[in-house]
Amino acid sequence: MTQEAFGRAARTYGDTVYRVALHALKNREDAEDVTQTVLLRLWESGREFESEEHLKHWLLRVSVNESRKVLRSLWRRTRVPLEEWRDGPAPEDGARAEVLRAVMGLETRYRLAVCLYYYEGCTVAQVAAALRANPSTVQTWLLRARERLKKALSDEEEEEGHRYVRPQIVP
Amino acid sequence: MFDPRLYREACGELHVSPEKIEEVISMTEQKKQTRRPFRAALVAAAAVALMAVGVSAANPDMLEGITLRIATVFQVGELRQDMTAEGGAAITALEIPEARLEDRDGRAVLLVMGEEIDVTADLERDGRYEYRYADEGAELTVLVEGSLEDWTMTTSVGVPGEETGVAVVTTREEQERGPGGAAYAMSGDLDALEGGRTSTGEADAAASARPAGVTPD
Repeated sequence: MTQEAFGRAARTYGDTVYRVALHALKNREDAEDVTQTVLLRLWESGREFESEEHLKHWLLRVSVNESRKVLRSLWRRTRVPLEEWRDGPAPEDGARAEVLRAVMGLETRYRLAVCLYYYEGCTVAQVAAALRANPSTVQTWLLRARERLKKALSDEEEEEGHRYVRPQIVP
Repeated sequence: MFDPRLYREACGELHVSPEKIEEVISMTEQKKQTRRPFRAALVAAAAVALMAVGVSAANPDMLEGITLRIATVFQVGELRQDMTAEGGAAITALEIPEARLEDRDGRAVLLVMGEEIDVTADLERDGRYEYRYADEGAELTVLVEGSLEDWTMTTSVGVPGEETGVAVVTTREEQERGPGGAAYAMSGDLDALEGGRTSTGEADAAASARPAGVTPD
């Protein structure tokens, strides 16, 4: 890979790698570190890719692997409460922020499956390859993720409803 | 209700900082990748105990260290690099990652591949614990046998579907004596390297502990 090709790939897929890492780690700084690590690995691999699609899927797989390494580290486990999505970058639009918060509230494997399938447009087989899981398992994860998201988002809607009830004087 | 369109719009607003990308690009401008001499030293320490393919007892000097001119390097998974030397010889380099068993307040904790696994119950019940990791490039097995007080750990890395592999055997005493670190082993058409290799005549501990994929300057 030439320096020019690498620069182009880094600028094109930097956000892709970052989004996957952010879904895995739920922390901007860690996700940016993983993004840099993945891109350096791309450079050091010296690989030539058959197509853009091939390059993208290689990057997705390595992003998942590098994020998992960070997740496994004891230092991180003690530093970041994994089940919280705190101070994460959030869209300004309320509905978008809400759906992103709901996805980030899922377990790691569900978050990653949702991100790869719904945002990156991977097929179930491609998601399975990136996450090193069986395609049938990925289908189950996606099904459960949708169920949980439905519940989380409807609970939130109910809460919103309660929150904005105008107080009334009852005669 | 989960709306994929809203979710895609939300994700579309997530961007890595452009400075981070430019930082990586400028790092790689200073760090050229391949087609330069690659010096790999194998340390004849406790680390490398067995090299199944290529390195035979007939050429023990290979264990001292070799200097190769590598044309291409491909990282295959976490623990394997496939290299082609100038002259066309194909070489597979396997990394044996550091694995340690620590006594933490009477608990046996295995540290490997960034994981920390409490193996106390397995050792007490079965007298052994086996850790497995596999990716597209290599299969890693760490077998701990014995008790917290007296154990033996066999760390082996092999190429899936092939006989190529390396293994390291460590005991508690050895771990306490020496510093840890990853080790490397190489196999392949090593005879074809005859013209290109020279013994460095020195053990290079730093090289042995260098992460795979990073070539020394």
